[in-house]
Amino acid sequence: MKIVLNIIKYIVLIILIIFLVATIAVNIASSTILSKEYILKKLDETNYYSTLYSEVESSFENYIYQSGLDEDVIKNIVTEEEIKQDTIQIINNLYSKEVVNIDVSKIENRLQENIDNSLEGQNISNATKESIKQFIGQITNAYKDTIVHTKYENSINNILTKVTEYVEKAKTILLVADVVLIVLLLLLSAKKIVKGTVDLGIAILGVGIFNIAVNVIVNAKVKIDYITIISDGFSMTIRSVLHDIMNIINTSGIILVIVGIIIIFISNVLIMKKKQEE
Amino acid sequence: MIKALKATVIDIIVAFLIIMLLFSGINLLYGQKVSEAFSLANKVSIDLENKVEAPKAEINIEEKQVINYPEYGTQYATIEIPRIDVNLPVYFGDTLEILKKGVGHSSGSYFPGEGGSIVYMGHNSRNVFRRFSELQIGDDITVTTSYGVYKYEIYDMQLIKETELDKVPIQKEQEILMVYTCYPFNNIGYATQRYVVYAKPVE
Repeated sequence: MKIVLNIIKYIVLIILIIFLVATIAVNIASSTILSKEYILKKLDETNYYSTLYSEVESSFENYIYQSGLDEDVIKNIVTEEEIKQDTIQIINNLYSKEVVNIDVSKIENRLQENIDNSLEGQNISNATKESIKQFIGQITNAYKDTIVHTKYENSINNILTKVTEYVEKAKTILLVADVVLIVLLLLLSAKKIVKGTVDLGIAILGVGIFNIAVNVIVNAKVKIDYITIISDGFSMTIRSVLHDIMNIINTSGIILVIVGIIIIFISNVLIMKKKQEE
Repeated sequence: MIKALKATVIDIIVAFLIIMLLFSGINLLYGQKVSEAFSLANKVSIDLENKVEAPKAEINIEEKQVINYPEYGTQYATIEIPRIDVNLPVYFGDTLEILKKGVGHSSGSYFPGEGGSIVYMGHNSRNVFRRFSELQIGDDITVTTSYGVYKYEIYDMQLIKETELDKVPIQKEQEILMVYTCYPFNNIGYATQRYVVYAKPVE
């Protein structure tokens, strides 16, 4: 009977470790990549808006050289602050599962004004007017593409919606499961509840070791500092987010190892004392 | 106290064993997926700081053959056309990104000194070839590469359609520098014609 109980205890212990690891993972995700406030803070920290401003200007240059228009017409048609406000709106839309929509009328008006000034005094044919209209369309599309990354918009939207739903459900389920497993572990120790706390300490220590090991493995296998996705600005933010996540995993790992060892030691001291008394 | 310490050490070892068991289980069940995820993450990792620099281009004059061709997208020369105050970098390749920075060298054509057709192209913008209309037959073009200086003299200029870019085919019998830009020079919108300047080496 004792052997069977011990086997069940270790099975519960392993399941508890898995569930605690999952609980930590889900909480890290919801406080980092799934948190709008966190993402906005990261964009600020990594100077994302400034990099994006350069990318927007560069995307305009692709069209200006082919257009035959004076290079100056694309100057000052959008400011870094406007890019920042548009980006914040995009993030808000994404996290509230709304369709991303950006107002480009200011850019259109300023560009039209610059072109008019540049061509002042020239006789503009209808064909040229049509070309200018197309050029303005190309510039506003280039702006949208650069700041929204239209190609990835749908997939990001879908993934974010699904993951947010799962994470919210998982948080509650995991919390209930953790409590149930801890109670079960204590019950399996029958009358010797202190023995149950040793097992709880082992579970906490195990989760700590797991987290530290994950941090070591990921850092050894992935060169986070060199990750390059979509654009320079985006890559810098992704790298910073990944570093944050790995730091949280590592710090929580160290804390859990210390807490686990303390619980195990105190419980063992109590067990020994009780044995001596008996 | 010592007994409690001993018991604690044993429990720590138990925790380690459980985690090792857990990692073995993960490896057994999801090892393939985990290694795929790591490999995917490394595919998007680009170490720009420790990138090995390509060796400099050189030329074997006797065989008219460039050794160590420049890397695509890198600058390997400058082009100078004194009459229209042009002094621009020449990059290997002709993508939009390259043409934004200067003059592009069409990757299907030969390099200066190789004795074949060299195709350069640039925008008709103010900072590039806007003043091409001022060029005259007999004008000089100097291309300074990392492996030598090449002087050319304009002998012809033509206006062709966008679809006729292969009007003068790429060949390796005679060195010809062909420089393309969009026409009309002050056109607004997409230009469907190209202005080509042909130049031959100055002996």
